[in-house]
Amino acid sequence: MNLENTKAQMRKGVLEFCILSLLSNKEAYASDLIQEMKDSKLLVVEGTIYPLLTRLKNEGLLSYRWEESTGGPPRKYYKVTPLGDTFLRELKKTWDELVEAVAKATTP
Amino acid sequence: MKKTLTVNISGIVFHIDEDAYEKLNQYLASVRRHFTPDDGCDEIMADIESRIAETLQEKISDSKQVVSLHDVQAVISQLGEPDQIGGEEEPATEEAGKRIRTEKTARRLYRDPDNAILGGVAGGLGAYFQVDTTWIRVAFVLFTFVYGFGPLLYLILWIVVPKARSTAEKLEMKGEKVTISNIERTIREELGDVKKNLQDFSEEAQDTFKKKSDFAYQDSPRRNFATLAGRFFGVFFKVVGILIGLFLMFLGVFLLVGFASALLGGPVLIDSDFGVQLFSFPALAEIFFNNRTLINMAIIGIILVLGIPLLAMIYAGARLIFGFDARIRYFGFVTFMLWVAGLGICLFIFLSGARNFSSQRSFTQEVIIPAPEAGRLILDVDEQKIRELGISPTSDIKSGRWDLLWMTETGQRNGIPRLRIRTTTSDEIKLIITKESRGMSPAVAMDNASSVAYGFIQENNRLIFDPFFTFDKSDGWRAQKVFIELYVPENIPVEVTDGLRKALDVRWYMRHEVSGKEESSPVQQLTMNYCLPGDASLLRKAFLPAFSSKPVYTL
Repeated sequence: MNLENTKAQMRKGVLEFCILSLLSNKEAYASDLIQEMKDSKLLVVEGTIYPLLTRLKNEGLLSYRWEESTGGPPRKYYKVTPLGDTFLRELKKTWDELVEAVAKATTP
Repeated sequence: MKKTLTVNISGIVFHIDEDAYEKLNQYLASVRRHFTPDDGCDEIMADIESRIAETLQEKISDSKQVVSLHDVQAVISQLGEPDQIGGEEEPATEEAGKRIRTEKTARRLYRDPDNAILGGVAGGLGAYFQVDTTWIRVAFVLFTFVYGFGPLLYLILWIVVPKARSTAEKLEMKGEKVTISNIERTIREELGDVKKNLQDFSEEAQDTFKKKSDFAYQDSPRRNFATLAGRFFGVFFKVVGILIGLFLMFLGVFLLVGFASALLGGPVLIDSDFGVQLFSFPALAEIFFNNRTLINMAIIGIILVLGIPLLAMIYAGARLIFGFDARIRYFGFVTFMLWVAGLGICLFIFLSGARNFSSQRSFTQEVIIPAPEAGRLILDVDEQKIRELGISPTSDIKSGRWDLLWMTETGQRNGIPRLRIRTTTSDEIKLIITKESRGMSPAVAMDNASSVAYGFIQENNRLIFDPFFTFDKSDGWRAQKVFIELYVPENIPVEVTDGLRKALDVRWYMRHEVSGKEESSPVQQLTMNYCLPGDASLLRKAFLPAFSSKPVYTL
């Protein structure tokens, strides 16, 4: 098990949580999300986000609408559904617990 | 100057260099392979294409209107390789996250570098069959005692089975547990592909059809039929493929083992009631060449010419069953060149072998034999010498034993002489023995002919012939022959024993034959003097004596 692999595994776990959080505040399309998450180094390669979005949408946590863009291809604007909201709240709770636990475990 | 293509990505038109197009196309195809229809493959691909369009748009301007290979490479590194896209996001299923899907594709055969002593073949096989690797290793060691089959197989697998390099390949190597539901899912996914292709095709066909006539096309029955047919053929071809693969592998391995034992096996060829039991190529080569280097070359040539197609057969079979791809650069080309080289070696060997037969020489010895004082002349064979070779004297040697050349326990090879019995007007019994051989030069041919040994004994009125003529094992076979011509005065009756008839190639000319025991058949048998058509031509003209050759019946 190498370091890169471990890092990737950790990022993977929180990616879903982050996407839901970002979308709970405002509607966004994939490139916006990519931009925000690249800045925070959550995303190594952009391609990862697409299967994730599709799956969340298929599970009913996200919904989207099409919007024409000037000059570019039409964009899918995603937002969180009520079901997604509930899901997110659960995740948030778990996350907070985790942060606390990890902080305790890693501080000597 | 470069050729460009016009492509439509997510509704946006791009001019793109040909090489860049190829690269992009490959990339999209490899990403697509990473997702199954269950994941919403089409939707993901559409999203990704749309992102590509967006990114490429940023890269072109009025001064740079064409998408280059460099741009495409930049986009790809930004989006990530299929491994990264599919690998980093490993979806857990909805059911309480308990059942985790670890692998989408079927298990494949790889070599396992993490569990390797030599090349990881046993580790990979163990992972593939889900058996403890130790057992596989034990099996390989045990197979070593079967004509060294184990190491050979190991080597083949080492060459043709690819090493699991990436994490994805290592996962693929371990695969999922093979369960009914997995098999069912795999087949369903594959059927999905076939279905999709057929649908695409039927849509295309519909379009064409609609354009040509305004026929109201009812698609559903036809489409259903296409789906059904697709399903049927999908399963059918899969099963047939595996059966063919199994057949090829079994046949290939079987022939290869036989082939290896022929090349490396025992020194002799054993003939039995069931045919050839053990065939040794070196023993065969030895009769044509006295040069060890040439024999070794012949073995190498034969290995290449016959072995490569056999290995190719096993490889093709294994590919059909396990679905792996060796992915070795120039593998096919190098193999083919090796095969051609083998063919060249064989041709060279054949020609040098043929040269050994280019000249022919013979020489003749004459012996006068005192006529028996009374009664008949009995021609017999030395049965003891037949037994010495381990052959039953009652068997029909001259037509049943073609393996005499290989029977070299005595350090010599054996051949069967021809005996011709003729009448003569003179009153002496005369024996003319001619030895003949071929060689690469007249001198060598003469040498070979003179080293042929043949003898007979006279005991009273009995002539006892050796059953075989012999020559040194090291001389090799150079079409050595011995002709014996026996001239007997007309007034002397001749008896040819059964043993002699079975051992030597005997024929009578212009002669009445007396056979059987003296007591039981004192009556001289009436026989037709015969001379088989074409038989005389077998003998070289020089050795045909000038005797009166009118066929007559005599009592």
